[in-house]
Amino acid sequence: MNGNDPKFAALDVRMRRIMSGLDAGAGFEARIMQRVAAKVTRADAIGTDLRAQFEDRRAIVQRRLRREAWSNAITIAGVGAAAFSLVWHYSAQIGQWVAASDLQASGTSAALFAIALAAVGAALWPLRGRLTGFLM
Amino acid sequence: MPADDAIVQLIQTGRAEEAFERLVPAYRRRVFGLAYSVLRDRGAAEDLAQEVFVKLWQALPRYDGRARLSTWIYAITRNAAVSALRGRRHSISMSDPAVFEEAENRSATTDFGPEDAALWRQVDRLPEKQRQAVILYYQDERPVDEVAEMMGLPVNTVKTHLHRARASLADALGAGKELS
Repeated sequence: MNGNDPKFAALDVRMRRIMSGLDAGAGFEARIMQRVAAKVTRADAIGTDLRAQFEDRRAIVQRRLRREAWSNAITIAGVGAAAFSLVWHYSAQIGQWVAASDLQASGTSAALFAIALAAVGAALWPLRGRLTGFLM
Repeated sequence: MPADDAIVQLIQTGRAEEAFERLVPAYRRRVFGLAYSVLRDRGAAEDLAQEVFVKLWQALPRYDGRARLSTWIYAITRNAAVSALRGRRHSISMSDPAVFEEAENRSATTDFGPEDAALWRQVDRLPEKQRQAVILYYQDERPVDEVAEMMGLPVNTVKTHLHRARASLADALGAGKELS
């Protein structure tokens, strides 16, 4: 482009001289590598930090689940004990009621027992996960 | 460009680190020159070139080869330079426009000897695109199509910018205005 135009010859010489020195300073590449290395170190540190945070959170959740499993177990045991003591307390009346009715004679007691067992099982089903956590 | 082909091949085979080690010396002058042509300050251009290379290092594994490697690198450099220039102009204009002018003159002239400083001032007074074209053209005696690729402009547009810039500088040189 206008390479042979004498009008530009002197300009070209001076401009090339000025612009040829247009370069980054010494150690430019080493500084880039340092910055890259710093980025890698920072990324590693962030990764380690995230892993530590994840482990902390997991430990907190495990502790909370264990606590909830204990509290559920205590609640179930309490309800069970209360029910047992209630049945124990009124055992005479219940005995009389059973004797007065013809449940024994009709043979439906086995069916009633099965229904009661199914009802207890259904009630406990949602808690199975927590009970598993409690048992582990 | 054969060097680019080798770099692209390394990227595509998952050897981005090796590719980066080759890319830095191959593009050092071009990235710095492009940054300098926009910012007109050696320190700022060097900082920007460093940032660009760090960005390239992060982005290199995602380079998909759809654009030419050089085009991709120049686009990243131009965007970073324009953003840096906007930030710099804004921060300086917050204080005093005279400070901005003085800082620009100082940064331009202290990079060169006294003889060339006057010519550089003429370069500095050129319209932005003409100045960029001149700097990139003379830095490594680049062909106009490469200057056009670096500036992200059509070749004929760059030819026009270059012709006008050189004519204006040659006139100033001939007239001896500030150039001796």
